[in-house]
Amino acid sequence: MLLLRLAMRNVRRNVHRTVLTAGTVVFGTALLTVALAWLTGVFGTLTNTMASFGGHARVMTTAFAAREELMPLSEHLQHADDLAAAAMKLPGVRAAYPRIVTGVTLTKGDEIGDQFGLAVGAPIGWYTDQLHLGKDIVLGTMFTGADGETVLGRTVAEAIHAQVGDTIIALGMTQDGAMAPVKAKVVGIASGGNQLVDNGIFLPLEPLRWMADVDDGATELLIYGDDKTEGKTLAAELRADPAFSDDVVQAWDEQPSTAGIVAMTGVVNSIISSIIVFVCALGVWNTMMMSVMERTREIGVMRAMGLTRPGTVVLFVVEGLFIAAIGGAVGVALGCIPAYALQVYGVNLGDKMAHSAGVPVQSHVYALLTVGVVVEAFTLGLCTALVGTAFPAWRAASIQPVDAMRSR
Amino acid sequence: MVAACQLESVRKTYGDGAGVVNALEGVSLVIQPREFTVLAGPSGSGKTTLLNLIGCLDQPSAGSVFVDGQNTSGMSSRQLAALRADRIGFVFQSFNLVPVLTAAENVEMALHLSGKKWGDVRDRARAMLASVGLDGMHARYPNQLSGGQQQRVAIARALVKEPALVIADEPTANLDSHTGEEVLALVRRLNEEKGATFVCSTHDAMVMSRARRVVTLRDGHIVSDEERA
Ligand SMILES: Nc1ncnc2c1ncn2[C@@H]1O[C@H](COP(=O)(O)OP(=O)(O)O)[C@@H](O)[C@H]1O
Ligand SMILES: [Mg+2]
Repeated sequence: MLLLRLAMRNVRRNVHRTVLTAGTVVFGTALLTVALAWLTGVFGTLTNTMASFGGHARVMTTAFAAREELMPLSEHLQHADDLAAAAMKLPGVRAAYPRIVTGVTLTKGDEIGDQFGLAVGAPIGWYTDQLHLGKDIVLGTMFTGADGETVLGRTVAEAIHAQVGDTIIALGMTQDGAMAPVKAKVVGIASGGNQLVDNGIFLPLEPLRWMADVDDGATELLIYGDDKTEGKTLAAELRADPAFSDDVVQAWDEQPSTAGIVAMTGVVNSIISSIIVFVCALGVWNTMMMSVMERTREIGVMRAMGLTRPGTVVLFVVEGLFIAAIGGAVGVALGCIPAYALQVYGVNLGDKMAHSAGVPVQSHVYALLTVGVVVEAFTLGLCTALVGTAFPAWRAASIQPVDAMRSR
Repeated sequence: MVAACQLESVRKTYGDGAGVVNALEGVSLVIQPREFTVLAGPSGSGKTTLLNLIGCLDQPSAGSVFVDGQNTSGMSSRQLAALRADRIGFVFQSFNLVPVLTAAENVEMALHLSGKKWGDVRDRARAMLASVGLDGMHARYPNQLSGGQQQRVAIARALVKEPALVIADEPTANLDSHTGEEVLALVRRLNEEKGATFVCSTHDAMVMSRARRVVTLRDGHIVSDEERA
């Protein structure tokens, strides 16, 4: 169509200005690519950590869920191993682990310790297959399967000056409130770069069952599918199963502590994207406005010849979109370079930062450059053009044809 | 026969309050199809204002304007645009070609905007360019053409859609007298050969001498309306 051809020719008309407009979009999309890759990486690791530590879905007793922050041992799930077996029968469930988490005081040897910590008791399979604790071991080994072993998070180990081979005593309570010590030998020290691992006191399930005096019970049953995105599906299946009818089932992103973080990631993402789009749209607005002013007369002439208002808008929007498509492609390509570097090398925020964040962020964070990131950055580049061209195009459409007749 | 254009007691004022300008006062005029009419008068006498009304670019403050038998008063701007696109051709003092389109594309644009189906637009545009004496120049851009040639393209653009009326506001004012004369000769020829109706404004004596009918304006009034041999 001739109007589209005209829009394309207008792109080449003032090369300097087109480069300026395209440059704005290049800058914007490059920045978006880096920012979105960064956020995807950071939030991806964060949510992966949360989902692997907390289960894609999790089962608790109703009473436990009601007072979860107190972690009341007395409100545990009874016969948790049977529940795990029942869960394993459901389609999509790949693994199920009973787990006990409880507060303890930690001492090394005969020293009197005042180090509080959270002791985790779970089947060894959970540590190896879900938490992937093996790759975080920095000293010593993973659980060998022998009795009386523990793996300590680095922060905890440092606090009590524990080394591999030392014997520690975790002093906890039974479900009835009686003191109950568990003795274990440190076989490994783990550093996961996040507080869930670094603050952990990891034990097999049995010693903690003994400490809490809960027979074959557990405070939680963690359920895993193939991917964390299946959390809600798994949760729905479990709720429908009579074996869990008295219990509370939550997908990982439905848990009060994580749901907020997941929502926040979306908000942060949109805020950052909107700011970049808005700022760059101002640049586009500026150069497109110059074009409109400069072409007032010829637009007036075409309006006199019957060019409609929508036709005028199309003329400028197509021009803007075309420039944005080229600028966006270049910008995404340019942005991929630093984004990829961030994906490979990452940035070390330092332990202080990671441990004071309140959420299990890694101290070393990497970007994640996905197809989604590239598509989103490019699409937002086009949005930049749409937003930036909207007002100039509207101005062009309100040019009156009489203006063209006035020769000076 | 329906008049190409008819004005009845037309008044046009600009501005309001103390700054009000009566650009036209009580103008009545009938222009028949195939006529070649020149609007004469000094600068500021209301020629452009009158052409804007005839060309449906503006609406009168009072009175009525009929174009090709249709009363334009009360028409929406969309209806006016459709009427312009279909029935009226424009030629401007400063040519006003689209600089990034070739001569042929400028002419084609008029067909595209006319709101009608035209068969082979390209052939039609080239034939029109040939009949204004621009054979072989269809691929040139406006800046590769002389002023006289650009105005020829503009005339081709105005005529290609076979309008009921062609409006030309001082079409020779930006041309030297020789080129102006050539362009006017072309307009006269097209007027006779194609039977196109022209209304031209000018204060060029040469243009007036070529017209059959000269309507003279002064201070917004028609002061004379002469038929010439
Ligand atoms: N848009 C406008 N606003 C105010 N006054 C105008 C406007 N257009 C024309 N006029 C006035 O109307 C009168 C007629 O102008 P115009 O039709 O342009 O005359 P001409 O074309 O014969 O030179 C002049 O006094 C001019 O100043
Ligand atoms: Mg004038």
